[in-house]
Formats: sequence, structure tokens, C-alpha cells
Amino acid sequence: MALQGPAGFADDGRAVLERTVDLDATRTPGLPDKAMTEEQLAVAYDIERTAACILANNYQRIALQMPDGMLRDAAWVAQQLSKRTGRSTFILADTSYGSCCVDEIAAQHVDADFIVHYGPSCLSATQRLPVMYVFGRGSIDIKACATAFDELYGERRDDNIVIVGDVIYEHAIDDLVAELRGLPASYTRLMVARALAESSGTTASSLGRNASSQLTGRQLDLPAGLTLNDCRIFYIGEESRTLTNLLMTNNKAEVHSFAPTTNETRLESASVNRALMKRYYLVQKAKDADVIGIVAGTLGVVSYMQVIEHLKQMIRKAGKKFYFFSVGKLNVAKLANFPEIDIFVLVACPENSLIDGKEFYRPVITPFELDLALVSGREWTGAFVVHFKEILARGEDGQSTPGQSKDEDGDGDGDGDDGDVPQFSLVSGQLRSSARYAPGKWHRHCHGPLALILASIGGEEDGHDATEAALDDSLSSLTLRNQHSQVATWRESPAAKYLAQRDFQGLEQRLGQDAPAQLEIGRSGIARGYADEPGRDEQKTPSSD
Amino acid sequence: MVNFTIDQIRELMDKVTNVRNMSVIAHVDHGKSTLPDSLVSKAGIISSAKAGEARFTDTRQDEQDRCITIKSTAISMFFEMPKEDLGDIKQKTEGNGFLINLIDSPGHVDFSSEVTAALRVTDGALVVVDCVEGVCVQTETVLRQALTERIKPVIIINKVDRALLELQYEKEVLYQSFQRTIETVNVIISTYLDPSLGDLQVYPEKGTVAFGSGLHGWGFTLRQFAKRYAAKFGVDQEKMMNRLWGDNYFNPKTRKWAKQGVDADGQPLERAFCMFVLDPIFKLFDAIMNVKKEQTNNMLEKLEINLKAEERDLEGKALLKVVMRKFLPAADALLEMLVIHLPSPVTAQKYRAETLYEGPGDDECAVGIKNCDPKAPLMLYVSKMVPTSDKGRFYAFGRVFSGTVRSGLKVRIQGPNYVPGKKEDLFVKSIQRTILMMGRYVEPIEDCPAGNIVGLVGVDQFLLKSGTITTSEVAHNMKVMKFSVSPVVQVAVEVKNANDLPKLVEGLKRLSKSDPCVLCFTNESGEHIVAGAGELHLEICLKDLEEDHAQVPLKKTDPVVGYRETLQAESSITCLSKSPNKHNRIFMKAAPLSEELSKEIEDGKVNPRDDFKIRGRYLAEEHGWDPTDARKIWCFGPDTTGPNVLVDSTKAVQYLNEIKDSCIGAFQWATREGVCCEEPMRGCRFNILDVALHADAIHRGAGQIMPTCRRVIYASALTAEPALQEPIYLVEIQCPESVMGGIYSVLNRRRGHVFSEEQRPGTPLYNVKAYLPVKESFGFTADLRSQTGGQAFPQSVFDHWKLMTGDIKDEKCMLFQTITDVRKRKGLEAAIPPLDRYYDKL
Repeated sequence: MALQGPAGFADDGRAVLERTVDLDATRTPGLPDKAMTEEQLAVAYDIERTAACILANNYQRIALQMPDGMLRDAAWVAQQLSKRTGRSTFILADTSYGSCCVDEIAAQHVDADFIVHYGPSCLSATQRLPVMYVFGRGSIDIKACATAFDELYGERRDDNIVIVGDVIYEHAIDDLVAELRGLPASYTRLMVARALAESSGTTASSLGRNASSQLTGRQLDLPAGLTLNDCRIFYIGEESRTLTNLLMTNNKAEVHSFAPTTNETRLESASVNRALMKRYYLVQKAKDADVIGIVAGTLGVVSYMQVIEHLKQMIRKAGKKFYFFSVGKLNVAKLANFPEIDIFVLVACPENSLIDGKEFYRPVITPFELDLALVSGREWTGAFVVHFKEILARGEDGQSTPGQSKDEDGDGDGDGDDGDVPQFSLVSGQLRSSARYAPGKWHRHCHGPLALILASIGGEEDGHDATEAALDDSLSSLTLRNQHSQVATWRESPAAKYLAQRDFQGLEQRLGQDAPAQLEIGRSGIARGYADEPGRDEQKTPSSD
Repeated sequence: MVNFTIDQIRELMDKVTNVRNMSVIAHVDHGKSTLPDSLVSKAGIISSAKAGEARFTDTRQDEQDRCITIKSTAISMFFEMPKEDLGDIKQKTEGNGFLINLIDSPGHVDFSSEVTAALRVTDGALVVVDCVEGVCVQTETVLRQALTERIKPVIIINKVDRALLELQYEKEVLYQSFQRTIETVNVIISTYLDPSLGDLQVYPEKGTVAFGSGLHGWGFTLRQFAKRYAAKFGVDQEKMMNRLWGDNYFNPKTRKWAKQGVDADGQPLERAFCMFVLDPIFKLFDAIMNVKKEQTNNMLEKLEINLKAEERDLEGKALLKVVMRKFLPAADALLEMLVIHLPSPVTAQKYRAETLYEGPGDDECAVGIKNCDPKAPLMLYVSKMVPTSDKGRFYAFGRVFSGTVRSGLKVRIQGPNYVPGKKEDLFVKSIQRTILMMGRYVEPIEDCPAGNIVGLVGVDQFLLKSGTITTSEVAHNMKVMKFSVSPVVQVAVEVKNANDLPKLVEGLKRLSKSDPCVLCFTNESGEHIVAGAGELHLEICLKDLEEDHAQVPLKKTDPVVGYRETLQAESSITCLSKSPNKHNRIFMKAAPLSEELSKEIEDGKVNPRDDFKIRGRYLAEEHGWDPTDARKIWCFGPDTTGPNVLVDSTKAVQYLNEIKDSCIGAFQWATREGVCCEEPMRGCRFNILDVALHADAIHRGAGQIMPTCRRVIYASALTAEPALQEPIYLVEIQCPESVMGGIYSVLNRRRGHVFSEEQRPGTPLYNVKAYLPVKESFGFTADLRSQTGGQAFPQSVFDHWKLMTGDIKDEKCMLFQTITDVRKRKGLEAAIPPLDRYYDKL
């Protein structure tokens, strides 16, 4: 393809339609094989159970959410379910966020009252609709797994051992436990974390679960007084985000994994420290950030709205500035559109939260890390939290402590206003004074009229009342006139500050400098291909005046 | 018994003409800390018996234990000059009381930053040179630093007792050795000829060179001898001084002065310096050391030296010490030299103002500094932080250049990043207290007028290491100090007990405050890094961190070295990267910058604030750039000042100005983390050759351009024979010839090479200069000592970056090995990313 100028770049969306999806079952375990018979497919997609569940609860409109790899069979599954239940079924394609999360918003578009989620899942509790999970069935050699297990823990039969499986091996866990119980010398303190295949959608039951007995969305009943840190964890499954998540949140426990595709076991917790230290660095970066972007990464996980509100509150309290983004699935290009943001915090399901930020222009962190960075008195202990419930719980006990610790600081320094003591930044090794954008806090500044305009652009809706109050206040007092006889009050705005540093600040007005020109009819159409672009004549878009 | 009161000192502070701010600088072990002892004892702060051993200005326990100075220490002293000497002072004075603010500085290269901080607040420097070792590498370094700061030097040739007692020099040999040392010093000084300061070279006959022994507490200038003889010969004192140095000979028979070393009969004459100055000293030494009681007593009588009863019983060295101290007290010689020849703040600030102040030369602050006006707006430079007994708090140590600072004064505290008119790095706070620094003690004072050195309480929280304090709203910053050493050696520290982490973080903050040079930060892998100038520096820093600042047990990794990524050739192909939406393309080629230009950018000679036309012309003329390219440098990086450039070489591209900010962002990012192993880039030039952009602004936003530009930078770097640069130390070793073999073998083993080897004339000592990769320098000092029986002591200072040539794909070469090691350490995937990750096909 030769370089043809801008018009040649126009993309007609073919790439998306023609993208090949990797359907190789050997590489994505748990995916139904192409060659399966209908009976096998019915088992793989759990048609029987699903239909029974729908009928039992008398759901009327059923949404089927499938990951890309399963869409091939979607029509067949929908057909089967409609046939068996007589209810209308809808296939949800292209989830807004990760395919592991239940996409309630998409389901609401079709006014569904029940969602069946197929494929790997992060098991996050949902907010609005009842959900049934169909995990799929990965093939696993239970004998080999039991042998591997015995090799690992044969010497330590009395230790607390927790078995966790990737959801696609969930079906095999019972068999494995039976196999292990059948061994000559039995394991006395074996526990199993189970993934529940159904979620009622009523928030009460999911919130009622005890946080400490939850393990990556799975339910686990720990004896009283025992924490996961005292346990050894045996994970069945390949490297996946579930495993990463498990490792990060239980970084003090010893974790071994068994990969059914290769029948290999290995110690996973060795590398976790390194990963944690990288997150520690991100926390330091967050401490230095003045402008924070909150990115919505889920619309389904229970209490995500509370978390977002909580984050806003926290940022405001720290005197920083935030913007709120909803960009669908994250990618580098989308976030790089906002270079004025210092750091992004992603509110998403546990498995999608940990973003390796190497390629991102600005790092992406989790709400927990932001909490560590912004709330005074928080220290990095190595514990890592991803669940919204725990984050909110931290917020509640955090609210009382900052006030106290501040007082103590104040006594020590003897200086009345300690608010602006610069902090030592561990990222740069320098002192940095964080810009404070607290609403209502005004800085009188004589600056050009442009600044005033910028201030109104940069202004945040919540600061509006305070803005007016402060404006009244400043108008009643004398304002010094500067050399250019400009009187303007400039609210410190990060957007204005960023714009001021930019080289290109938009088109110049050049008022009064250019000769007036004749009005001309400009370009029309949409960005995909304007009407006047060469080679576009045949598909003229309707011109809008 | 202290001979003065704080009130006396405070009173003198107002008479700025009678203040001398001076630092003592020298090579390690040349006797810096010992010499000032005699002044301190004259001031009555320590007993005269202890002078020379107390090293009053070494305040820290480890300084005393190791016998080296680590931190610079200030002390203020009050002296009265004899009235008859006042006439010799060529600048304005008032009365005969003088206030000397003396700062003792460390001599080891690793602590050069302390010297820089000391020089900034002083106007004169006492350069101490060992009479046997002569001018060494650090003497030269600190002297150069002093001269660039426009600080006037005077010299003392120290340890003359060693030359007499150990080396048994003849008089003429000793003279020649003095002469050589002075010449070497003057060679260095003359390269810094500065018309506004006049001639700064030192001349014994003018009294700017003293000779003496700090340990024994004696010393003299020619002026003292000239004074004695002037009366005797009935000639003018100044004339006499001239005759006492150089080729002046006195013929005792004819009682005539001559310029030749032989008399009319061809008999050799003795040089006047030897005859009148050295002779009495030699005789005294001879008499006392060889226990010639009678002769000694005779001489003592002649020289009018009265000994106390108990002193008469002394013998040998002890007696010599007492006698010499009474005969030629070092304090008098020093005092006289300092007061007469060093400038007062009033004199000095006139010519120093322009090198000190960043702002325009005619604003109120600049004028205040020039006039050293206590009534002008306050201008105070904080050059370092001194720990207080209160853990975690510091005195801000600095010099008032203009105005008066007092307790309770509301001031503007401007950090190094402050830009006039902006609010970054600016705090308006009150000074809590002003204090006088007195070595180990501090004394509170009410206020402190311009020209004096002072400590401040209550501003330490707002400054990390240094900064400007002012009352003027229009004040610019005082110039930031430039250090001759850089923190090239890094160590990662970790707490042994995870709960101690907050203490470590606080400790790192305190450590970086307390040392002008050390750098503490967290790297991308979350490790806490302490970076210092050298092994010794790091050792001291880590010890301080563990014992004082953090007070928790720490784990330290082996030291690691930072590298720089560079290029060896122009990109072999024109690289192209497409934006994620495939609508935008950037074409780029990379090429290496010349080493000279990289250095000039690092030194700030070529910098982003230059006018682009002037810079363009300079680059075209000096570095052979294409004149159009030279004008179109978009930016420098990393951190907008680094030694890499992004050049716009496009021709007539639409919307180019719109994507400039995105490209700059990407360039800063890419040069901060290079493609080979995420080390900063150095000496790379990236030319944007062409850009194809989508016609609609929404499709060429930052999100599309930034990642693309970063990728194309990486692609063009990968095709331009990327390589690493490693830091190299300049090592200077002084040693006897017998151990040279050991030095060579140690250096060879460590990839070092000797490039200069000179014998110091008149001594059996050799001066060896070598280049040694910093990576190989760990344990070098200890290794060298063991190989040479402790006779060689190296001084290493970062000198330059050296290219590690090779091909990054060649698994056998060191370059590949180093890159792999760094990648492993950083937890990156082992292989360098392939080109097709960044390069898109057309």
C-alpha cells in the first residue's frame, strides 16, 4: 500500500469484522471443540441445567453473554434454550469491559431479567440482575493432579491446604477431593474454595458474605481464627489473571499451581514479591500526582458506584483534582488522549484491575493503591486488596484517623499551617509541593483575560457554589491592578496550567490582524471520509448545513 | 576560655568590611582540619596544647575515628589585629576587630559536593598544599571550583616539618620544592583569568603564600620575616619582602644585594630566602633535635622566646613544638594572610554578584547583593542542611548576601525549581530563629546582616538541600550550585523488618537533606535506591541512614552502576510507525550526537532556553549541523534538558504543530527509558523525516500520536546500532615506585588503564592517572591497598561516559552481557524487544 495522503487512511471498519479469533482449543482450555457432537456441546454449555434454572425461576427474557471464542456456538445455544424453555433469548456480543464480568448494562438494553454468562469469569458479585455462570469444562487428568498434590504436600499432611481451581476446572474439584480422600493417608485439613455457579443478583446475600472467607470471588469456609496467610494454596489452572489476582491478594501464603494442560506443578509465590514492589512504585507515583483520572472499568460489579464516590471524596480531601472517564475497554491510545492526567485509577472487577502499565503513558492503578497514596497515615504493609467491599471498609475507618494524625503533626511543628509543607517524593528524590485544587480555595492572581476563560473551562461542577462565594468575597475586597491594567481572578486550574505549558494551544484568533475573508462553504461529512476528499465521490454523505 | 563573646561577634557583623568568610580546601590528608585548630585555639575555643590534634571542626564521631573530614563545618571567630598592621590592608576596614567565618571542608573526592556548598558562602579560600606531596588531583579540583565561583585563593604550604625532619631537605632543595608547588598552583589559576577579579595568582613576596606546619602549630609568611629584617636593614618592608623570594642573593661580605647566585669572585651565594628565612628555622631544628642545649638556649634568647619553667625541661620534638609555636605562631601568619589578602564581603560581592544571581543585573536584589547592603531586600542562599540534635530537623546553613535576616521575619522560600512569577517551589513562611554556627555548638543571635554566614531554624521543611530565601517579590533565584561529582554508584536498600518501611522512607528523606550530593529515590521495580559519588561516600551515607536517619536494620544490595543508552551509527533504514488507528504515520531516523555536543548539553552550554536562532548558528558553526535542522530542534530530553534531541526535519507538513506536544511527550518518555534496557538515553538525535496525519483532528490526538512517536523512536534507535555507555572514573594514585607493579596489575584486572605516570620532582613518589570503569571500582581501594602494602591510596572521580562498542545481538560481547544483566535486574523479559514490535511495514 503506497502512501496516498490522508484519504487513503480511512478505515471502513473491515479490520474489526475480519479479525480472526484464536479458537484453538489446545491453547485456550475449556473451549468447546469444533468437532464436538451436539450431545457433547449440550454438556459443554450446560443446556440442561440452564433451561431448568430458567423455568424454575420463571425468567422471561434471557441474555446470553459469551466471550469471543464461544460466539461460534452462540446461535446454537440460543436456539436450544429457546426450544427448551420457550422464552426469548438474546446473544450479547462485544462486552463493554472485560469479558469476565457480567455485562448488566448490555443485558438491560434488551430488558433481560436473567443473564447466562459463559466462559471464564471473575465471579464478581452483580448488582442488578440474577446471573448464572456456565464455566465450561476443561479436561483434566484427576489422577495426575492428585499425584502432583500428594508429591507437594505428602510430607505436610496436617497443614491447612486450600484448593482453588480456575473456573473451567471447577467441575473436577469434587472428583479431586474424593481422589485425595481415597489416599491411604488422608489430609486432615483440606479446604476447598468453590465458585458458585449462580448469583441471585440481590446485593444482600453477596454483601453478607464474610470477606475473609472469600477467595477471588470463590466461597471458602475457614475455621475461626485461621487466616489465608497460614494456609498453603493449591491452584488448578494455567497462568491467568485469576492466578495473578490470587497471588497478589494472598502474597504471604505459599501458592503452588498445577497446570492441567501440561500436568506440571510449580511454586508461584516466588515472583510475587517483585510484582508487589512494582505496585509499590506506582503508589509512590500516585502520591506525586496532582490530577487523577478515575476510569470506570465496570458497570456491573456490585457497589462500583460507591467506590467511585469514595474515590472522588478521597481525592477531594487530599486537595487534588480528578476527572472521570468512561472509555469502555482500556487501551493505550485511549488513555494517552489525556496527557494532562498524572495517573489513572481503574475501578474494575478484581481480575481486570491489575494493569501492567508499561505501555501506558501514565500508569493505571487500583483504588486500593490510591487509598494508600492519598489517605494520610496509610502505610504500605504488603497487603493487597482488590475487592470493593474491603476498599470501602478501609475508607470508613480511614475517615476518623486522618484528623487525628494531622493534629499530632501540627503539635510537633508548632507552625500553624502545615497543609503546604512539601512532601519528599520517592519517585524523583526531590521535595515536591502538591498543587492543591480544593474547591473554594482561591488564589488571587492578576493574569490575562484568557486565564479567566480557562478557569471556567477547567472548573469542576462541584466547586461551583464555592466558586461563586469566593468570587463575591474577592469582589468586595480590593484587587491590585497590575501593570497591564488587567483585573482578573484566576482559580488555580490544572487544565489551564497544562494548557499554558503546551506549545500548540489551539487555533489563534488573530483578532484584527488578518484581513476579513469571504465566507466559504467548508468541508462536510463525517471524519470517516469527507464529502470533498478525493476518491470519495461515489459515496457522498449527506451534507449537513 | 573563649576570648570573645557572641555580642562582640554580633557587633562585628554590622561592620561588614571587617568580616572574612573563608573556606579551607585541599586534597585529602594535606592538613585542612589540623591547620584551623591553631586559629581556633588562638580564639580561645580550645586549649593551645590540644591544637593540631583536636581537629575541632571534625564534629562527627566517625570523622574523628577515621581521621577524615566528611561534612564541612563552620565556625565564627573574633580576632584583633595589631594596629600597626592595619595599614597593609588594601580594602576599607573599620577598627581592628575582625570576624573570621571559617568553613573546614572535606578533602576526599567523594565529598566534593560539601566543598562546593562551602565555597558558595565564602569569598576566600585557604588552599592547603602538602609540602611533600605537592598539588594533587583534589587540590586542583577544588581550586578550579573556587575560581569558577570567583573565590580568591591564598595558599599555605603545610607539613614543612616533614620535609625537615623526615626527608632532611637542604635549604635550596626546599626552596625549589616550594617554588614548584607555587608554580603549579599559579598555572591552574592563570587558566581562570578573570578581568573583574584581577590577578589571582599567589606570590610569597606579596604575602599570599604561607609556609608552616599545622600539626606543630607554626607557620609564617614572608611579611613576618620582612618586618623583622626591615628594621635591621633600614629598608622598606615591602622592598624587603620582594628580596626574600626569587633570585635575590645577599652578599654578607659586601653587604650588597645581587641578582646572580655567585659573587664577584665566583663564590656561590646563598639565596636570601634560604639565608634569612630558612636558616634560623633550620638552625633551631638542628639545635633542638640534636639536643644541643647551649646552642638552643642561645638562639631562644636571641629570638626573644621565653619558655615557662615546665617547658624548659622538654626535649626533642616536644620542645621543638613549643619553641616553634612561640617563634612563629601559625595563627598569626594565617590571620594576617586572611585579613590582609582575602576580600571582605563588601569587596567580594561587587564582582561576585553577577555569577551569583540569576536575575537581571539591575533589579533591587542584584543591586543589594552588589552593595552588600543590609537595608536592601533580603537575599540569602541556603547551601546545605546541618542536622540538629532534634531528630529529623535541620538548620538551614547559608549566607546573607543582601538585607538582614532576623527571627520572625516573613520570607519567601524559593526552591531550585522556582520560576519568578510562578508559584511552584515557593513558600512564604517565617524564620523561627537565626543562629550562629560554632563548630559543634550553635549560639542564638537576634539577626544577621548582609555578608555573614548564618544558620536558620524553621525553613528546613521547605527546602530539600539548597535554595534562595528572600523578601523581594521580584527576586529570581540565586544560581544553583554545580557539583563536580555526580551520583553514579547506586545501592538498593531494603528494611529487614517489613514494618520498618515508613521509617526507611523518612530516613531517606533526611539523608537526602543532610548531604548535598546524595540521591534517594524509588526505581521502577520498587526498590529504594541510594546513589552516591563513590564507594566511600555511599558507605558513609548508608551508615548514617541506618544509624541516624532511619534507625532500623537495613539490607543492602551490591552496588550497581547506571548506564546510558546511545547509538553508534545512523539508522540503516527510514523507520515508520503507524498509529493505533492506522491513520497517521511517522517516519524517523536516528543518529548519534557527537560526544562534545552531548557534553555541552549536559553542562548547559547548549540548552533549551537558548534563543533558537543563536543556538542554530552555534550548532551549524561548531558542530557542523545543517543550519535548517539546527533551528528546528523541538526539544531536549529526558527531563527537557537531557543530551538527546528531537529534530523536525520535515518539509511542509500540515498540522505538524498540533502534534508537537504529543511528540515531545513521547520523546521525553522514550529517552527516559531507552529501548535496550530501559536506561536513560544519551547522545541520540532523532529526526522526524515525514509525517502523514489524518485530516481530522480527532484522529490525530495525543492518544494516536504519543504511542506511535514512542514506537518510531524505539524503532529508529534499534536500527542505529544501539549500544551502552558506561561511567568511567578518573583515578589518581600517589605511590612510591616500588609498588607500581601492584597498581598496574590491579588496574589491568579491572579493565582500567593508566594514561599518565609522572614522578614528582625531588621525591620518590609517582603520580599515576588512570581511567577505571565505575562498575569495576567496587572494592578497588581495598584491593589496591592490599596489593601495595597500604602504600597507594586512590582518589576516584567520575570523569566521562565511555561507549561500550559491540553489537547488541552478539551474545559473546560484553555489551550484550551487560544489557542482559540490566534487563534481568529490572525484571524485564530477557531479550531486547524485536524491531517489528516498533516498526510497521508501509
